[in-house]
Amino acid sequence: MIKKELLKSFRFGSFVLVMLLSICSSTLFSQDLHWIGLDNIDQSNPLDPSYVKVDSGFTLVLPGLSATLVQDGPVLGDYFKETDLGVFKLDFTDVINDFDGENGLGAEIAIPLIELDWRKGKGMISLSYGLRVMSDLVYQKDLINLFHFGNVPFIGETMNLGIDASAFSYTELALGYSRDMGFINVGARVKLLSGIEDLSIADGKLDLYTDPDIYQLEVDSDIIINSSGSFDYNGLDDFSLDFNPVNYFQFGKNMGFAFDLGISGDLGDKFSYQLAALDIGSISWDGDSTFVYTSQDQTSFEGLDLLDFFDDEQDIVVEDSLYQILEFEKESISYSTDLYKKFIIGVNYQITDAIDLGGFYHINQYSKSPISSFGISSKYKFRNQTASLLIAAVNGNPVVGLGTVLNLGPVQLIATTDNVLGVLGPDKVKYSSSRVGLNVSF
Amino acid sequence: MNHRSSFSFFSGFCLLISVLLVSGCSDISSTEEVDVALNGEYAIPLVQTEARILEIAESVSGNSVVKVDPDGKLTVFYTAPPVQKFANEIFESVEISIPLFIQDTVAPIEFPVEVFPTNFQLDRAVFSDVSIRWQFMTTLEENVTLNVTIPELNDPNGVVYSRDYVLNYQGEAETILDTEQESLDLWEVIGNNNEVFVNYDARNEAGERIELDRIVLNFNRLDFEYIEGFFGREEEQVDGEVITVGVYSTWLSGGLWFENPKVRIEGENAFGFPVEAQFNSVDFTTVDGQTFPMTGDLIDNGVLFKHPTLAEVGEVKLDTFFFTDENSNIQEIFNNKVTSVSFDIDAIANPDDDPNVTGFMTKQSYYKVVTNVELPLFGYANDLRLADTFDIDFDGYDKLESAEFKLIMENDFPFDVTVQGFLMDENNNITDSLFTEERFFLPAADIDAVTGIATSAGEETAFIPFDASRINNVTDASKVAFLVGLESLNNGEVPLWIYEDYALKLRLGAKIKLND
Repeated sequence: MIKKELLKSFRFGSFVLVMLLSICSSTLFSQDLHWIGLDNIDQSNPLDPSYVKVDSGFTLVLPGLSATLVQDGPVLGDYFKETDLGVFKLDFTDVINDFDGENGLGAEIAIPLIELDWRKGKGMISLSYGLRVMSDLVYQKDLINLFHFGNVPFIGETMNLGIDASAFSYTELALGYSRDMGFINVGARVKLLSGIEDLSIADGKLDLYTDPDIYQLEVDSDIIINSSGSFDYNGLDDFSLDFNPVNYFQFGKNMGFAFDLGISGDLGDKFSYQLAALDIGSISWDGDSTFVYTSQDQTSFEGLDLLDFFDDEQDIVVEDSLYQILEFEKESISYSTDLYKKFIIGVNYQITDAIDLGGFYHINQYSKSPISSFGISSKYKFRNQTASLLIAAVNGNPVVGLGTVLNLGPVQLIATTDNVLGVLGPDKVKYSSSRVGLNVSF
Repeated sequence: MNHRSSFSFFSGFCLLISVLLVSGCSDISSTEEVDVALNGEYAIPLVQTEARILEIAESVSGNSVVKVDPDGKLTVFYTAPPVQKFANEIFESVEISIPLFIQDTVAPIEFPVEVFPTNFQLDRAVFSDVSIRWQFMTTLEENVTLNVTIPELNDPNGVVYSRDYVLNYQGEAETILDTEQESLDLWEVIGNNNEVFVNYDARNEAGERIELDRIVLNFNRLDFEYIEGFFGREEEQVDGEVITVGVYSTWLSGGLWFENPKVRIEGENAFGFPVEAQFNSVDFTTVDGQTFPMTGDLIDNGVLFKHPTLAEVGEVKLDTFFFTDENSNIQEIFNNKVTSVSFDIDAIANPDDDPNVTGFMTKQSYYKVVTNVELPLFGYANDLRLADTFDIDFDGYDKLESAEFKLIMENDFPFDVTVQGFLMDENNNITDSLFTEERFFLPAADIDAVTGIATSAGEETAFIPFDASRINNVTDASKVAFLVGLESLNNGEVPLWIYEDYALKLRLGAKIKLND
């Protein structure tokens, strides 16, 4: 018999909370398509390593926030339903038919804590420190089917429950240099990384077959789970996921290295371009609590043999055996994780002194679900303030974004969103990315 | 540096965008609890058991053992705890704390026959872990030389015990010599009318024979590795043991008939003299509490177990005796549904009390008696009804909305099986049953009319639904009582053998609907 523990909950709540954290923050910040070609800011441009600020001198960039959430299939707000104040229920009833065979959910948070930019002459040096959190999940519709319908409608069929997942966080100490060489700007940033926590499942295969006879369960698994500090597995009934990605001041362990490269320049008086490759690098996870869990087996549960209980006072409990159907070997092995690389091409045409029109193509290579975006943006400059409008397609989903660069004396406030609807309800849209930044120049 | 300072409607619009961005978090950001409870319908296997009589017996601790003959036919043995006694439990070693005073130059020492039967006669014995020491005393005011001999005592090489001592006069009134303790382990003593003799020859300095004023012989203990002789007739009560016969433990009504049940008496004897088991009574108790005494020649005459001869010291003789329908009334009384057999047995050593029978015992000698009820699984069931009740606990299954069990059973046995289960509350009130309309019927296997062997299994599949209106009867139940009916072929009148490969295959799965 199945006991209530099995019925009550799966413990991927922690993962859900990470996703929720992403949503919460997403109005504040990040795939940041708006920042492509943003040229009137007093600080470095995270999407353009070649950017050189207009004015000489120092700029202190204060803590900001940036977040991106990208979803395939139904969006979180469609199935995360509030049943009571602060209490949500995972309910796929209204959207169960809207899932694709394979669905993705990606989130990225960046918290730039401090940055100092200094331009002298044609060159600009940037030194920054911040925190970044990445997560990416690719899941199969069958996983949702199993949760929502159970396996009864799929008796005699093989359910594909495989997932690819990646969630990690790290601190980033970056040193950048960009230079205006007249006809072209070039820039590069080198980044020293320190991993905080990581959990990743690469090419996780998990097939479940339910036999029509007496519903024997057969599991075919090929899963490797890399974990550094967040996951402990002793069985389906005894595992914990405690992903605590935020540690602002960690440095010195799980070290990694990455770099950004960029060039930009003008072609004539009106036309300019930008090319950038960002986050090329990786983190080596080698801390004390770094483990690799491997399950590469074909197992089955065909029911209990009552003979095993004939001479025993122990209760006959089915779930104990059910929980053993998926077992992992745990090894303490170091491994590395690639960052989510980003590649950007942008062009800009100055229509008038006050109005620019640009186009761009952006690829954000999440671990398993690359996101491609393209679109056009226009910037309207009035006096010394800037407002921008963005129309883009992100993974085929149309979005309209707004942004502003607001100058208040020595203080510059930069706020952008790639999707206005995402501001009102980021959990209701397939793509939301926003950034807020503040800098002081002197 | 070009600081901007103007502020306008446009600037306000931009600021509004910024505020919206900062404040526009989703309601989900206030998440305190996420309910991810399953609420689908899940199919899981519960039980898959292929039970053979042999495997069931092996998986259950108790007093039953199933044996297979070369043809694959099964016999169940219900065994009582064995009765076993070793020599040292029967003839305990003697601790000797009283010193033996030697009164003459030739003095007898009696063998400690009090631990043996009255007419025990020692031929020879071998000491085990025995040590002696002497004390000699003289009042002569001169040195004394001394020789002590025990002609009946030989070392392991056959050399007679003989020792020389000197009492050196030291000017005291008494000259005393206390010897060191001396091991006689594995020394052999020859019986001389159950006595051994100590001879001593003491001389003064002039060489004249004298008598010492005191000679004391001290034994630490008296124990033997081997004793040979006539041990006499000795009766010993064998603790009465009871064999529990479990075959009727769940009997409710009807008949179960076994052909040729037996009681088997297995004896092991390592004593070198005859041992007879005398049955004071062998009583069978039935399911209704009646007691029937077994009668027959063996009961009247007892059984005499074999014993090793003097040339077979160290060997163990095995003997087996049966109470069968040929020498007792066991067939008649066993099928009254016997649940236990009790024994009252005396073991008699040297039952004929013949002093010409020279026997032996070693320190390792023992006898062992094992009693079994031997039940060949050859018989039939006639409207046999069995019942048993099990405690169940579905606490924590409140998420169950409904369930449907799928039961598949296969039967290799030569009898039809009917099954019903009743769910009961804590007050033993029946709240529901597993099968609503009729009992689950599992047909007997097809039987070859010539060989009596099953050729194909009887099979039945049943779906047992518990919808929302009944599921609480399951989750609230604290007991389930199973009623099982067995009926052999031809209305239960054809005895057939149960074979080793006969199995009852039970497969059970469930579809469970969960609510949220």
